[in-house]
Amino acid sequence: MNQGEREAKIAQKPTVIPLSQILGQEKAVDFLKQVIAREKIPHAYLFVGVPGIGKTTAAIALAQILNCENPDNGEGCGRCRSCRQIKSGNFPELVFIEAEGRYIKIEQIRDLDHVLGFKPLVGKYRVSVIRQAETMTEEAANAFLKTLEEPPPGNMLVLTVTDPRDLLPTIVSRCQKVAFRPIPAHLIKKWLVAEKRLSEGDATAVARICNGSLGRAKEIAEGEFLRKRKEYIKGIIDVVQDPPLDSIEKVIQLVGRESKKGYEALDLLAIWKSWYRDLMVIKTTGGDSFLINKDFSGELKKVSKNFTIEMLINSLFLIDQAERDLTGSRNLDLMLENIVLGLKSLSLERGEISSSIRTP
Amino acid sequence: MSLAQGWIFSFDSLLVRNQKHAFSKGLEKNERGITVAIMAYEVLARKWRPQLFSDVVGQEHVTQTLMNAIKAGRLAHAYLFSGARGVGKTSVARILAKAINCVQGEPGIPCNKCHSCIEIMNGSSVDVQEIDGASNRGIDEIRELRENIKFMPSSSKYRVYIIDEVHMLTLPAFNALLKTLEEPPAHVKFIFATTEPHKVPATILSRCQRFDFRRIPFAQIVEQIKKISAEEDLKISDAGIALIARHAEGSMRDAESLLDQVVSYTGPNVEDKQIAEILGIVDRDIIFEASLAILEGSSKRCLDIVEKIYEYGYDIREFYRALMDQFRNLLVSQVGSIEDLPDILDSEKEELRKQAKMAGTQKLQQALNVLIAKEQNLRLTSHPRLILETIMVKLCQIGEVLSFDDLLSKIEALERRLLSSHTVHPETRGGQLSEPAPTWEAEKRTAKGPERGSAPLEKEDWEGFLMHLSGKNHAMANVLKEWSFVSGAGDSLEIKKGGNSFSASYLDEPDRYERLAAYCREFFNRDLKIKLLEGEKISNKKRSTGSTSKAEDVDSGKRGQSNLPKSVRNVVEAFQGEIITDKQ
Repeated sequence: MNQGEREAKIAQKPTVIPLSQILGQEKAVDFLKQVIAREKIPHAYLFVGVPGIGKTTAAIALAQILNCENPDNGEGCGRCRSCRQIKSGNFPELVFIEAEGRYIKIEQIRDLDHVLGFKPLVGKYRVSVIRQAETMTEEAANAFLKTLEEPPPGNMLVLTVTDPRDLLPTIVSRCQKVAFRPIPAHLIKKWLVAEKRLSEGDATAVARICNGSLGRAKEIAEGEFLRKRKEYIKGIIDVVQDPPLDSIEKVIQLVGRESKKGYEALDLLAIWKSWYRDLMVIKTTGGDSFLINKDFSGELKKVSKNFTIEMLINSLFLIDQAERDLTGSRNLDLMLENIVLGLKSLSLERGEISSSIRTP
Repeated sequence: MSLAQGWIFSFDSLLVRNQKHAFSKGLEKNERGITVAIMAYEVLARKWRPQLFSDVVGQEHVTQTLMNAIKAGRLAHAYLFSGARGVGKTSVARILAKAINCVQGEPGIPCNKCHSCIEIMNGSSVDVQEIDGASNRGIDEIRELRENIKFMPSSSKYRVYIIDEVHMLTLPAFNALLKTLEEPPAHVKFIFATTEPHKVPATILSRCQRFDFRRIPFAQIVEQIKKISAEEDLKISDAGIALIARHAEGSMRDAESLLDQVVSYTGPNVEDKQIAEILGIVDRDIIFEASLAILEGSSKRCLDIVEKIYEYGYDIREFYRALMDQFRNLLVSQVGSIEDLPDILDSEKEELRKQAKMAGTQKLQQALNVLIAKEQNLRLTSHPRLILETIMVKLCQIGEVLSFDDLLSKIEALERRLLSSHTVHPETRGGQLSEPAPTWEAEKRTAKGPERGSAPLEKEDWEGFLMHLSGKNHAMANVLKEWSFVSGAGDSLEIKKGGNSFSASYLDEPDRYERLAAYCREFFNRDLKIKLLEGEKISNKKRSTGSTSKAEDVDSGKRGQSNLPKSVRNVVEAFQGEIITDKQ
């Protein structure tokens, strides 16, 4: 269980849609269209943004436009041979490099180098997409530098990355950066209501919890996350009030004991984080204008009396830290116990700690 | 057999690499001239790669030295170029290779016309090989290189090996290179380029002439971009160029790719606003709004601002960096002068000063501390927005901060009040206040030390002293706890050593004894002569038989332990524990 795998999961299965239909990326799309219109096409792009917001989709659309035989107003026609091949995933000059296991290895980069040495067979451009370029090992990244600076003609390299600071500065400096922004919550909400038939309340919560990533929103909407959300929120209210042993037992029950509990725990922490964040918002502003869990605003107001702002701030940092620790392979139950006890100590109403510890 | 095969194979692969390179370059050249362009557009950074020493920007200390060396015929056989990305290492390496092999031009100035120069520029020269150290990093590649070095150059004066990203060679590869690098044949020159010279072994470094490339100064980047935009017919304002140059952080290639990116979006007429948009530079107004909200402690406005940033699509980490810069600027404007800071617009200075004055140095410093401490959290989190909100609210929680001067004056006032109620001679107080030492003395007397002049010390006083000591010197206090107080009449103090043979000699060192005397003086407020009495030596045997002889000098908790097993007693002693129930 690690964050990287999860991000890979979110970013999976890019769809083939025209550039202009990519949700919420008007600026990036506009930029790319301008570049194509001016025919000033560089050899290396760095698409920056969180997973699941359309970076790879944009790269594919770009490949389509560049190779289309009769491009129509900056879009692929969808009828010519290369357009159809791209649509069906058979276009030979669209190359994906992805982490094998946890990393992109130097052999993969050498293989790519080898492929780039040949002229594109079909179409005009070979587009090579290096997905989650931050997973390149140090050796791979260095081996890539020369190619990235001066690839053979007819090649375009697109790297996608969440945070360019995770890459070598020498890699970043060789690419043109295109920022993909988190998709605005209202767009995701609309999409969830329209496509996934979610209720308003659920859609609001999902749209705000998914960090602007459509991929994550999709994953949430299709999974059991929504059902779990209510359960987990009730859980956190109880956890803070119950005696420690009960609450630890409760949390371990909540995430279940099956093999998927790593994912469950991540969801749990994400929801708890949103809960504490809402408490903080209520505590500091008094209003409920931008709550994540708007449907729980009554409970939030009631519970918020048990905390000081300082406690909420520390709780948020605590959960965030726990989330990161969880992505390493630590002892999950121990971690959960730790976070529960930590959160309990950061509340005015702690339950009866001394009496419950004596109880076997 | 297998060795020979390996050799042939690798030699082969080298040839293939060269041909591949030549092939692709040739293609490019053809297209540039005639027919349908595959990649007609060449990015500015490649197009404007310097071809003469005089074209290289900001590295005069390197280029001048190299030109002089060529003119004087004092060429080293190996060079190492180090420096940040995009400052000209590879370019200078190529120019150097051309310059020493050029047949027509003046010494130090390649003609860029002769056969040799053109071959090198195409990357098709057999004698000048550019090797990617990161892809060919193993010992086998270096062995292959060593085999080839023996051959004389085919048409030029020198065989030049340019190894780029040399820091990625493996350690065995480096070591295999050492002998060759120290005394290569006269016709061979090595040029290494790297961004990370600290990863290159010292044995390699000492065999090379090393040139450190500087980050290119802001002004020279601006100048070069002006030159490029004039040549490329681009209309771009000075402020826009400054924006790009600042974002490039001393790297010419970064500056050129940014310019490229901006132009590919806007076309030849570039507006400043578009530059800011493409570079993702956060609007200054939002930054000022944010710092004001934080300084005024308005969490609600902070949350509003985060919402705004998020909806607008700014990178949250980018915003955070800008916010840090802002607080840094505020702090600078409070403690020094912001007039000389180049990256602050005149129009902003007034507002900066106003906010800084409102906050005060202490508060700014505290805010900056929080920002720095929590940067890591923001970098690593999977929910940057939530964490940004949390940090902003935390910043708002920094209340009014008292400066040290204020604190000191408050303490002084408090001290004065205390003195007036406790000291015996209130009339001398005014005179004493200006001198800190007597005041300190007076305060101490009231606070802790026994007030009796030279009255005999009691056991309680000794225990009080031990308490005091454990705060100052824990080790000594632990030893003395084992010892016992005998008597303390007048100016002398008698203590008896404990039975533990290890600690018995603790105070035999004059240094420690002095320190104990000093502690006593500090606590009892008088000079005491400390006499150490030998305690009974208790042999291990005696202890284990349960002798009660030491019972008198240990406290009551330990008294019952003498019949316990030795191991238990040791534990109790080591942790200074107590046996509560004894089930024996």
